[in-house]
Amino acid sequence: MADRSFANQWRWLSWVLMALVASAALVVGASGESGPATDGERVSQLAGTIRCPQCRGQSVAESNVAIAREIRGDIRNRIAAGETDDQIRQVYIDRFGRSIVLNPDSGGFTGLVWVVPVVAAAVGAAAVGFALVRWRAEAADDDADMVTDDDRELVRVARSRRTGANG
Amino acid sequence: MTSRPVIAAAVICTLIVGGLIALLATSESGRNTSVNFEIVGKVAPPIEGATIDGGSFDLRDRRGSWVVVNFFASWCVGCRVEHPELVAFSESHVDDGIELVSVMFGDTEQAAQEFFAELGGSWPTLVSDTGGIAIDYGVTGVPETLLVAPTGRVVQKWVSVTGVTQAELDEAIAGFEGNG
Repeated sequence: MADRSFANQWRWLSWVLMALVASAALVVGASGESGPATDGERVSQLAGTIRCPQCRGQSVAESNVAIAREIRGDIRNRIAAGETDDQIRQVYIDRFGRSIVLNPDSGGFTGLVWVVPVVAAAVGAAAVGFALVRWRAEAADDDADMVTDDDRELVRVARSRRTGANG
Repeated sequence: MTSRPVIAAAVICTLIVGGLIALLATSESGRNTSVNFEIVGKVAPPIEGATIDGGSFDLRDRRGSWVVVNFFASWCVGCRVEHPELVAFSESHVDDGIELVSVMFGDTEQAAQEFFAELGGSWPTLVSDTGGIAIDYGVTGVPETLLVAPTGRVVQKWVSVTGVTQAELDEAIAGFEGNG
């Protein structure tokens, strides 16, 4: 009985440890610094977040139409001139509107786009966990209800016969 | 047998996901708009540089005049259709202070020179380092034409596969002048 309880505790502990490791990996991966990006990397990263104004669903990094080429060149010039990524993005928002940026804002009403999936996933996981616990409890109750006195007597008789046969 | 919390969670998730889809579908970034009119109503960004004939052009010097700004490329079919209209417009406004300036977009200087040699036109045309000007004016393709009022603000923009016409330009200027 004590062994079983110990095994149960280990099983829960391993799940908790795995959740901790996974969470830590996600946090480190999301916030970890990978060193300063080169100008070329910044051009690629920024171009990947700016929508090609003449295309459908393509960034200026992916498109080769004239305006995408011009914007890539303009990003390169602005980086060389010392402008920050946010300043450069704002330049295109001012000229082409907010829809030029492929990533939604992290603030305001549009920020819900980032928050809602996380909340939905957490609510879903909690609901599934709650349901599993409840189903297991119900199943245990059902099993207990199904055992009658006759069943117990049969088990007792079977055990005593087995003990007698072994002895 | 489904427990109530599960049903409640399913309903909540459905509402959240539905709301998210609605948000994305109706947000500005969810629409594919290739035509950009953000510039209309704003102060015209600078247009300054060397022209195709070796001269120079500076939009700031034209404050007080109507200026038509045309973005073009020699490879653009719409620009070829539009060009005779611009030639006619330019010739009809030689003495009244209404000016026209063309800005090459996504093309080479030599191709632009050949374009003007073939189709005519003698108004100022900028052909080098014009990418920044096109971006400043929110150009998404060619031909695109904008009207800069004497106040220095962009008051109208035309985006069409066949370009703008002389009549449209004259009508717009007359309309704005009529409104005071």
